[in-house]
Amino acid sequence: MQEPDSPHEHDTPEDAWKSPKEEEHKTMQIALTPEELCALAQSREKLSARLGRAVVVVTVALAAALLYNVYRVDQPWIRLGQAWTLGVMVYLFGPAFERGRRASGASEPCAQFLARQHEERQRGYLRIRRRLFLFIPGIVASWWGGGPLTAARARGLDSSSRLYHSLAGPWPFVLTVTALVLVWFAFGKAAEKAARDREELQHAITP
Amino acid sequence: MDRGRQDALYAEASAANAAAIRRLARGYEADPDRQRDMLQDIHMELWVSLRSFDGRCSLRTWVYRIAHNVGASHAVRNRRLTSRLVDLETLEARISSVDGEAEVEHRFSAAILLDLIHRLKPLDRQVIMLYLEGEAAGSIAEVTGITAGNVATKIHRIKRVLKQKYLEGAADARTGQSART
Repeated sequence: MQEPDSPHEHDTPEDAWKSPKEEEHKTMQIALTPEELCALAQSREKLSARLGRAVVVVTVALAAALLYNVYRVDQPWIRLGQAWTLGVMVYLFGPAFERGRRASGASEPCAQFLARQHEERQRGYLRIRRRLFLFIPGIVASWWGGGPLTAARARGLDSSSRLYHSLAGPWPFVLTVTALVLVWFAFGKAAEKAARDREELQHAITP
Repeated sequence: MDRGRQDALYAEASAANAAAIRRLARGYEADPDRQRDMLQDIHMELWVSLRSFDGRCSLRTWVYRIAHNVGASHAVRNRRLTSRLVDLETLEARISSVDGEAEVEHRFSAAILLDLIHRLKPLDRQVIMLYLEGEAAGSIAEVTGITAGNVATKIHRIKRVLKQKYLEGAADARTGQSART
């Protein structure tokens, strides 16, 4: 014998789709007035602007520290390295400050919207990846000029300690470049994933 | 566009499509709290976007595009989840083949349907949700930006997948019933 009808079971998928559970239906009511939506949109804009300002502050602080080193440190190689890194930072992050908030709710057809998103992701990862090695001349110059030892002395590290001796060797340079290479690979993987997503999407649009 | 016209368009769009937008949010997000957040995002983006509504497509198409684009952004951002999503083709292959002529009496559950939708990649998810909303292939093509022919192929797959899930549900129910008796 068949069981009595459950309120959550339906004759067709369309009926099932259009008949949510009553309690769900109640909690999912959104009744915002245009004024409330306007206030919400403005608060999102403000939050986005605040985040942008925070990034600017951190970048400016880093740039200021590099600039301070350029003026204060006597060693010319370290000064050159710091100045180079400062230039690379301005070149890499400067244009990012000019970009505004991206609209997530664009009105273009969904396939185009997704394709654009994947493309922007891939392009962004590749752009950073290509430019990562611009940091290397600055790292080489700073290391060659004894940057790690100068920093250790400035922090009062004992010159007889093991750490001090290891900073005198090639390790700071090797570790920094290894980290840079790992980041380079990670961005490459992320770009590959974005390209794969784009290809899959293309396949879904035109099989 | 002036603010009064924007508000009026939003009121019209919201009144006509509120239920469809709610269902769409359920299709993109399983967690009720996140569903509410997404719903709020959709309404906000819809209101903002209507400033540039130019009437080149119907208001309904516009609403669907905005809502699905917000939902798809949400799905794409959730990387951990995205890696497990599949397309209709894969889903169809995974579900075991059944005899299309079999007689079944089981009724369809919304939970089974949502579970199936949550496993799909954004574009296929959009097509299945629009199909379930009762939109025609042409209209789905206009919202999603894929060709009507391709939409028709996807709808054919959706019907087969739904039928197979339907039959699986029936088998589960029969097993449950015989266990109870």
